[in-house]
Amino acid sequence: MGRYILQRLVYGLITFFLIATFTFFLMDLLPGSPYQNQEKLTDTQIQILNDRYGLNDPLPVRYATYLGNLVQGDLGVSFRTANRPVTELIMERIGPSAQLGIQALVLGTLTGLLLGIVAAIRHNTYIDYGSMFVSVIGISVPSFVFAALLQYYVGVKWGVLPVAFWDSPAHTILPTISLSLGVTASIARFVRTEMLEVTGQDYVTLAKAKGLTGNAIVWKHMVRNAMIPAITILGPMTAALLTGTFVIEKIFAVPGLGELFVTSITLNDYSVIMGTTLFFSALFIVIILLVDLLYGVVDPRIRLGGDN
Amino acid sequence: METILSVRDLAVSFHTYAGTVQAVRNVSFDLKKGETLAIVGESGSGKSVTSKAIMRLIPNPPGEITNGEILFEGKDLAKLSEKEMLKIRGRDIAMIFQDPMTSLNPTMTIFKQIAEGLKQHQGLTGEDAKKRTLELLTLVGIPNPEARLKQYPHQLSGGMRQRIVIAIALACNPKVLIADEPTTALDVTIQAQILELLKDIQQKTGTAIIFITHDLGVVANMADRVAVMYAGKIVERGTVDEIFYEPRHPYAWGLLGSMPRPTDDPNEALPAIPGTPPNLLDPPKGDAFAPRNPYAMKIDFEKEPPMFQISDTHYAASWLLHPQAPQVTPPKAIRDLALKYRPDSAFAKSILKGGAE
Amino acid sequence: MIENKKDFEQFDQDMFQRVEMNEQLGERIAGKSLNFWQDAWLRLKKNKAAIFSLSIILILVLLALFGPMLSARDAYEQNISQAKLPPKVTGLEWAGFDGMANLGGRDINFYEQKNVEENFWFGTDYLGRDLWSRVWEGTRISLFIGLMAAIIDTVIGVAYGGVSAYFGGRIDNIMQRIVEILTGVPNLILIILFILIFDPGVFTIILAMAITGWIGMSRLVRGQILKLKNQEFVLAARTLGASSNRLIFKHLIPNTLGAIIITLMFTIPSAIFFEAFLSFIGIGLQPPQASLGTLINDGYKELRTFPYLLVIPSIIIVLLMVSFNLLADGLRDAFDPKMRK
Repeated sequence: MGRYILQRLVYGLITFFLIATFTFFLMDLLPGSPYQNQEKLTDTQIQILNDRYGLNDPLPVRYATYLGNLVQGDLGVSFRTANRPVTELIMERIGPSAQLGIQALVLGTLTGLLLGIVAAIRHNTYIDYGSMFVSVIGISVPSFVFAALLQYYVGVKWGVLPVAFWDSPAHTILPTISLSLGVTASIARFVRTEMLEVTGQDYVTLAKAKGLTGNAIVWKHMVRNAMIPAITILGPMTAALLTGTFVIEKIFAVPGLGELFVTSITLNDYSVIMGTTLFFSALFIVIILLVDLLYGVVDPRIRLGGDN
Repeated sequence: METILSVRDLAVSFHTYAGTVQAVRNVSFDLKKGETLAIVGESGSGKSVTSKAIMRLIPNPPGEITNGEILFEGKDLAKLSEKEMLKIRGRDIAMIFQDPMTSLNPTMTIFKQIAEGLKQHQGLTGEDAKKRTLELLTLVGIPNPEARLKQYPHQLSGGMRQRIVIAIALACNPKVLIADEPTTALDVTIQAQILELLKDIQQKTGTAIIFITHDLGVVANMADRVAVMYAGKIVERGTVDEIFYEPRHPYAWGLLGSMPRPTDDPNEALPAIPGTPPNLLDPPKGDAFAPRNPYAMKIDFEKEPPMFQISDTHYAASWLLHPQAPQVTPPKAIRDLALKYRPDSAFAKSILKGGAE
Repeated sequence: MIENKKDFEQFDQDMFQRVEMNEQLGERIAGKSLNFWQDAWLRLKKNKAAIFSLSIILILVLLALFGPMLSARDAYEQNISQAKLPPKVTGLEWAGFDGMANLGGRDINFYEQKNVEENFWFGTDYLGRDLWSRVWEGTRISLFIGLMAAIIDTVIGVAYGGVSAYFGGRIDNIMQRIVEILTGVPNLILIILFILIFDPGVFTIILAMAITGWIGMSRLVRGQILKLKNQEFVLAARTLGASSNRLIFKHLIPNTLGAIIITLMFTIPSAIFFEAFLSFIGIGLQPPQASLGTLINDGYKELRTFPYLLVIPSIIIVLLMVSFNLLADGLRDAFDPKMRK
């Protein structure tokens, strides 16, 4: 187990290093100027700015500086937002994004589990068909379409909940629901399939033969075994949540990381794009690693090693 | 001896998208206290479905008990509610499954899996449950039981796992134990150990055993009485001696004849039963075995044979037993067995009268 | 059931005539045999949701190809005097296709206000372009992107996974380490960076999605082939002296094809989604290019007054995604009866 963790850790670091390098060279190729009002600046002014940001150094030197800074957690300075350090900008934005992401994950996982388990227990009944209909819709409706419609009907037309911004818990409801739809749908589908797979297992028949009640069989024998493979979708789920935050934060004007990223793209703010990219990648890598470890903890076959 | 379980005209069907499969068709038998009844037959003959039906473990849908009674202690199990059935399963009737590798929950400790039944039926928890679990583990011959309690199934060998499955079944001292091919998935040496264990347990606890198998060697070793199933029906039943030495149904002849013996002439081909079992989506009329039966008569294709009684304990469903039927000579292997071990039986005499070919 | 010796039923003695056994009778195989594809098709046909989805997809494909011809208007032609006309279809006024929109709390008939005689079935956008033509133009581009992405993923994925699994050993080891590293990359960010560098356009989007898109397919193919490689029928074929080519083309590929098609079918909706997503955040296709994503983006800006601009392209993209997902589900059940749930 220890060796495995170490191996995964090394792979994670290699991936991160490759992404960092890739991002750096891509940014170097990026068209457009990082400065606001470039046309109003004289050549000398641009020269001075370039000097200040180190843009005149040869590529290898810049690459080395970049990596050196990265190791120290220094992601450079934003070209646009009053020279503020990128790390600071990111820190500022983590709060709302984390809150939104966690709320959506919790809501989506709980409803997804419920739908999936109930659908499997009531296999081939209208409850099953109904929850699978919900989940197909959830997978098929793009989150931004769902969010836009939710915003229009619930926020604008009926005026029940705030349309945008991130001021009170009520403001978080619509973004959370929008973001959780996809999570609910994929978890419901996956858990249902796994539950049905488990239903046919001999140990479930044996549990029935013991005279256990339906509830005991479902919760003690089926759910736990169905949940173990379900852990594997937490990785792709995180990726989907990241994707989701980009548009959901844009639609509901949530001051989060996704919004920062999308804005910095439109503004050609290189260092912020680079910084957020690296931050997202690191987050993603860490979560994949955690999911792997979680899998090992939950499944005694991995936790305690192979046969005998 | 007192009858503990009585199955009458049991029929089980499965509704599939290709049609209705009549897996078990009017099966009747009795199980007496403390005895071992073996149900033998090839794959798909309905023996496993019969045993699952007794436990009401047929998944519905697609399966369904369409007819018959399963009488146990004055109750008809076929008609009990699911709730009432919970009190029978695991307490009065317990079951051992074929594959020990898959019949234990991989994410639950051995102790929890055994203690579950104790808690459900006897309300045993904590130290009491632990004490009883250790007793059970000792009973099924698991060395160092204390250390096993916290282990998971994947940490045990196949033979050990089957012992755990047996311990689970024995947890509440069941009156009937159904063993559904309990040794098929095990190595031969382990098989013998498990069979010895079951016999030993039967002696200690007096439980009646229904032993499902396709292995006639195991039947000879274990059973008091035998029921032979073919295409969802019992075609012959009797004591183990009657079935082995005085079989009457041509299917039983084929089954026994195809069992290799150390005394066989190595130059002679082992006789096999030609053909394949019928499709139970659309069972043939008459005797289902007729197309594969070298002794088939016209009536076998027309009319279903009734159960003919041969002795107090011996019954067979073959038109050959009808007085109008011609005298036939069973295959050589059957003749040899009968003449060697039961030279005085009516069967042996009829063989001698018919003359050896 | 049990007969007593005394009262045996009497039969015609002829009934007890021996019948010679017909060897063939016992060996006869009941039911006609179907090959894999016939069997799968039979099962698919029984899946109403899948067949319904297939019809929807066919209709949408036809509309994407010929829809603009029906209104005979160009998808890019601007006419400011006809801008922002809500949908109007004669005979469908009751269903909301009445040319009315709510402006400042009052329902206004924009056709009367702007003096437009002809009907625009889906209305027009802020530049007076016909939404009907633009929606089908957009659907065509979305479908094209979905299809191309799926094909590229399949070609690369099958080749990579196939080579990795078939040769095994060191080659497999190295190839799988590479995949392991690539899996750690959040593909969305990679796609966005890629598009930032190159001109946003249909081919950039397709290429960007291909960078990491093939990984899933390659893993699937590798897994399938590794599984098949050790199965008895492949070992048997090998023992009988089958050549590598024969093994690959007669045994391995046909048995993997079902899984490949299923994955391919799931790739199409996800590619359609990605295009729409990128266009929605403003880095996908650029105006005036129409795609379902840019139309939704345009519509979102006018949502408060002219919801039809968002709702119509949204319905089309949802229909596409639902149909492809349901069809893929149906195919999975049809190809793999064990997975049938």
